[in-house]
Amino acid sequence: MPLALARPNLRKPFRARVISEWIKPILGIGLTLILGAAPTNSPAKGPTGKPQPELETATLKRDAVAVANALASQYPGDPLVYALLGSAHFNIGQADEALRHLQRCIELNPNQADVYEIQARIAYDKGQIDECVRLFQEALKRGSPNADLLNRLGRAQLDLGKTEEAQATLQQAVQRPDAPGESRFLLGQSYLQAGAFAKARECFQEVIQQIPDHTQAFFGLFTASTRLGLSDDADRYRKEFVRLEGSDRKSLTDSSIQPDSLSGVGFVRETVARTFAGAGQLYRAHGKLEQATEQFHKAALLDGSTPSYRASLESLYLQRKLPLEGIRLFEELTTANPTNYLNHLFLGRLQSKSGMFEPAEKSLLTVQKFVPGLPEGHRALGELYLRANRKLPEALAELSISVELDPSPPHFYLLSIACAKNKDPQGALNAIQQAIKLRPNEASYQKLREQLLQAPKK
Amino acid sequence: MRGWWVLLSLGVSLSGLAETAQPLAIQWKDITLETGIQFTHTDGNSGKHYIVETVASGLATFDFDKDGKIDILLLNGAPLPGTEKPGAVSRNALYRNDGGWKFTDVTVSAGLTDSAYHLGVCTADYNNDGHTDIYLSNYGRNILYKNNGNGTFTDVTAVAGVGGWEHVGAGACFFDMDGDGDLDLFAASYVDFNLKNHKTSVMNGFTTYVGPLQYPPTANHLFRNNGNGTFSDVSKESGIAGFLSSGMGVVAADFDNDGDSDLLVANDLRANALWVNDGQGRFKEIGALIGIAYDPFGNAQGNMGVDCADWNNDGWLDFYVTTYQRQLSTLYQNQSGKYFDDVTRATGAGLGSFPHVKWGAGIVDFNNDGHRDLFVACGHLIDTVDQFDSTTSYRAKNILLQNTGHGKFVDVSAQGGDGMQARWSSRGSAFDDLDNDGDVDAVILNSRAAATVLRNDSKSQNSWTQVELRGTGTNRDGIGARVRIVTEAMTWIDEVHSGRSYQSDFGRRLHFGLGTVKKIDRIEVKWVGGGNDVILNPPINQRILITEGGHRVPSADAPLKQPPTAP
Repeated sequence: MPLALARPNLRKPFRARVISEWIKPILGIGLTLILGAAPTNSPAKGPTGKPQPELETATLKRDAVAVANALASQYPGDPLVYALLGSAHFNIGQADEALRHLQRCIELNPNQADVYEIQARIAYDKGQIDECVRLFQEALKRGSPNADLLNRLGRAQLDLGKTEEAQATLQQAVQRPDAPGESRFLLGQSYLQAGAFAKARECFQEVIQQIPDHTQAFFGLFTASTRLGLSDDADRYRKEFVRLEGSDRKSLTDSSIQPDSLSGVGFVRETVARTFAGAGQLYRAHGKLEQATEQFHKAALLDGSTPSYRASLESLYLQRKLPLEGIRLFEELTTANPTNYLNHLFLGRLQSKSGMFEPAEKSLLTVQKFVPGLPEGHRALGELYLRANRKLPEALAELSISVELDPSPPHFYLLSIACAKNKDPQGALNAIQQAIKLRPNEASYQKLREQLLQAPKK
Repeated sequence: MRGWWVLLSLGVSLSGLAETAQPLAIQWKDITLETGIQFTHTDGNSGKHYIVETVASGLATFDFDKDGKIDILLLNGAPLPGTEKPGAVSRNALYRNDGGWKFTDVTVSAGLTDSAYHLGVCTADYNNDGHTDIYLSNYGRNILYKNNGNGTFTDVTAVAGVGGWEHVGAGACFFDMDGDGDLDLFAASYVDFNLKNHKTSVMNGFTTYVGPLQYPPTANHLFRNNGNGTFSDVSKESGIAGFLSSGMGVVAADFDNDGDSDLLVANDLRANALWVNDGQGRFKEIGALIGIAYDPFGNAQGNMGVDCADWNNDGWLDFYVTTYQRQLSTLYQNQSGKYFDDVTRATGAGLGSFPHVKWGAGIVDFNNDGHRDLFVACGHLIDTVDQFDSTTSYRAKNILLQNTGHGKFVDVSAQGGDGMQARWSSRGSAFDDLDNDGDVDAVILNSRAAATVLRNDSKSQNSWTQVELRGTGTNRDGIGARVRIVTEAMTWIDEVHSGRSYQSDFGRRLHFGLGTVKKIDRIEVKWVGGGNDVILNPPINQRILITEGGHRVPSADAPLKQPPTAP
């Protein structure tokens, strides 16, 4: 599937997050970026020593609701607490209870667009599609539209047979810069269902240009071509659909027979981890850094593959000026799960920031051993060298790779510094100009550019 | 008549009929307790969560004793390992319709007391002796019961050669695949499950069943009737065996109006298979090509049951497929036999179905307004689902969608009488006129519970006709025969099926609601492998027995016979 094939992108989880980024995943209906590492915790075991997924799941769900309830009793006036409670209840299958808490959240802050969106998704699952459409529209009224929200609204309108309304919504979606191929695919579907086969075909062709292995777009192309009497095209698209569908089916079957999939524990761990992380964010927002750290620690233990939990832990230990405690924690995580590259990455970053050059270098080289093409790994190692003012040519090399892998503004910024330190002012200027081009309003970039321009030329 | 229904008829009509028909509210009365039917279904569960428990069972409504009243055969599971209790007995139940809504359990005297684990059923007169036989599709070996014509049945499976393999059975149907006048047999299989490869999963902390993808797909079976009481397995040479899947409901129907019976197999989490018949009993699978394999988004659904009828009265048979939770029951509209359009969303045919797991299905005109309505049997297959997913439920109300006659369905479940208010985990469903009063009643098999008998109490003044066929040169039940009812306002078609809905069978007697039509111009019958019969000016509001050859298309000067009405 297209998402699974996408190159791992670590940038998003490192950003400051807004509510929608954690509530939606907490609900278990968001898309999770799985980077391949296994959870670090041990499964619950019964008296015989055999794993007991039922026991573990029950405990986890109970803990998640307890944490959310504790927050609600401590901060009864905070609407986001009720969003978290709603999420926790939804995760244990209590949709009505979830809706009650989400409604309380809205009562406290009627402009919480994200919460309407979540209510809409619950309504959809309950088959209340009319209500779902209404709630999505409320979310749109109160928040800024995004492609995902518009896609979901469009899909619900399609399910109601309101193809014209769906088309209008999805037209809006495809014009957004953040529009994924899914928006155009759904627009194609709306045309298909309206019998506008030529337009549908056009949409699906655009989808496969963007996502060449979009299985369902090939099905749409096959259907539209058939209706248009383009039998050769239809046959070609059908064959490709069959090929891709077979491959998808094999992946689905293979993954569904994995023990973790059969036990369902992996999914529960991930969703409960999101609840803990949400609690961590709320504690942090209320200045309770120790409690926040505890929650993110629990999240990190349950979910070894979501970088943001470890990133939050790192920043909390730094904020609390306890980097050595943080290092100790990540050492424990690394010992418990030595193959999880994220543990090594964050251990290395904290060691780097604590001036522990050799251990940091060792940790970050371990990251590269596990994931050679990880831009964050190269960036962290380059940063270490820059920070220590050692191995500057290696720093330049590492940061050049990070830019090549992920040409983001921070990477250009660091490359600029590395160039400067390696006495390549033109390279430094070029790099910082790239960063500014991508993020014109970033003050630190402008400042570095000015420094570089003012530096005496040799 | 409910006032709000009048409003529905004020829209622009698509046919002359709709302008005059009275769209009446459909009312179901649960009369199970009055009937004497005390059957309770078991799926043999013991907490071990064998997948076979989730798919049990279907039922059949048919007239086994030829007394003109439709009888009921309810299928039962059997104890699975872990449930064995000394003396524990579970078996099917054959209820004889005594009239006046009284039924008598005649299972023992009929000799239908086997203790197999029964999943699916189809009935038909496979040996053309005038008596309807029973084929049971089981977990284990299938069974063929020959009707002896004296109220008893004999297990003739071994002699007939139609039960020689172990499997998880599914839907089955009799049909004449080669037009030779006797009925062949298609038997679907679910997945390659056995006690040794049994698995469970844990869902949100609750140990439960795995889905069909956890087991290898399996092949279906096709048997050619040798005309002497035996069958030959022609699965390979017919092309059927080459397609491995996870079969559930099946129906044989002439979707392309070419005069032979094709096959639709609903497959669970795999593409539906539409087998097009070359008229000689060789089949080619064209489900994906013709647009019936997937939902419109290209996803294989958890397909369960399937029914077949012409929902929009355009002369082509459409298919309605029930599906898993978070999928809509899907209406595939036949576009002149060239392809199918999924019109679920455009018509509202999936209303109310999204949160539920759906099983039995019927495309039947319940209020005789001339437009076929939809019935969907609901209920989740995970018995603990309520504890971890409150968007659905193990026991659920069934769904009734009324055809407005304007290309749309309206969810009238809540207004459908007390028969629509009960919550069960329903599976098979069957629809026939159990009291011979001119409207279609319902019988629902509920997993781990009593069956439900629903009397149709719709207050309708609409006209109707029922057609029963008696083959002479072709198969005696007229299975596969196409019937056209021609009136000045409208033409209806239907076809005789054996095996449909969710692993069930019903509707041997074709029922047509006629709306306000007061006169039928003619009834045309096209027999599979035979000729045509035409009856002019038959009476309305009666059941009509049409015998093959009795009303041949006349020469210009030949007199036409009046049809007999059935007893």
